[in-house]
Amino acid sequence: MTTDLHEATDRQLVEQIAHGRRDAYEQLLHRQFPAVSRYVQRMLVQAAETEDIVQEVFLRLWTQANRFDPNLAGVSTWLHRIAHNLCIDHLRQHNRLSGATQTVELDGGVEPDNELENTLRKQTVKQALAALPDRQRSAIILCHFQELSNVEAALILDVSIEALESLLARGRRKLRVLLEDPTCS
Amino acid sequence: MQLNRFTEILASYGSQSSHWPQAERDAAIAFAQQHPSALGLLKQQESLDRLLADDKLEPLYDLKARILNQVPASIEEAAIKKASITNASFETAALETAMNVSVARDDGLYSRFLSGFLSWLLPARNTPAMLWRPGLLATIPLVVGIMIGSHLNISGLDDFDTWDDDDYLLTLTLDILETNP
Repeated sequence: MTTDLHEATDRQLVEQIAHGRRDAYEQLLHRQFPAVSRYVQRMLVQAAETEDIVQEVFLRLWTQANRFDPNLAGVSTWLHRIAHNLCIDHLRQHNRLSGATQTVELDGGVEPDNELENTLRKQTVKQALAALPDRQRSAIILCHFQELSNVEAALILDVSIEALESLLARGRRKLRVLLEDPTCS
Repeated sequence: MQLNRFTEILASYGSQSSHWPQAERDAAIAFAQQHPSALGLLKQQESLDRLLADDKLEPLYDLKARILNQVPASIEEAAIKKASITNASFETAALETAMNVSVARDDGLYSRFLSGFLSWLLPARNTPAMLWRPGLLATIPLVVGIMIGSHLNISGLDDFDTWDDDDYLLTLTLDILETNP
């Protein structure tokens, strides 16, 4: 049975989960957890609620597996869409937990220069991503970091391909401005 | 592929051809190889893609294990756990799922009633509007207590209802005193 689950497609696993199969749930969690958790981490810019949102996504996988419609989207797209909606709700409720307002705190001269530069650069990229409007950030995360196709990303964001490309182009343009001159956010 | 469309693709999807729309990928790659002007456009986007590549994430240690721990190991275990279940959403949902399945297996009236009652009392999605259900359950002992109290005769109370007897005894005492001064 375990071998069967390893070979089962994501859709077959969701079907088994809908019948209360925990082993199928475990298998699908193992497959989808890395991508979903990375998406939520980047959307919320590592806010304290990241773990709660990831947990909620997989709770819904357990409780709403019977609502999954394989004709509408793939399992990964479905889970990303749940994650996206939860993130947007969370960001709206909390009036945007913006990483752009965070400051980089450095310990006095203990780290070597190159490590310090790396830390600063990483923080700058995070701050730039956080400064983007939510939908632009989501579009860039889905297409660039999650490496989903434009069709999948458009489904998740519930927009047309043209609208997705507009979000992506505006987001990338703003990122370039922010990263070349971080002071003008 | 026209230059305009190639520029739009780069502006939206960046310099990595693996991110380009699948339907246009081959044409865009061919365009980049044939037109020298495409190289300049690619380099513009490459710098941003290199910066984005620096964005690494810390792994969420133990979260996957914690999620798994909150899901019952089996349908039977979920049913056993029902007594210890609080309002934890995962366990409630798991119980509900397990109960729905166990009802299908066991046609007994008692099981059906119990599972239906628990599903009603602890719905999978706990919203504030659902709080009246456990609230209603909590008031039942209070109402029963009031009903019992109102129907029981407590002897101590009867003593206070005998003023007529007291008056009678007092009058009798006074009469005796008058006849036998």
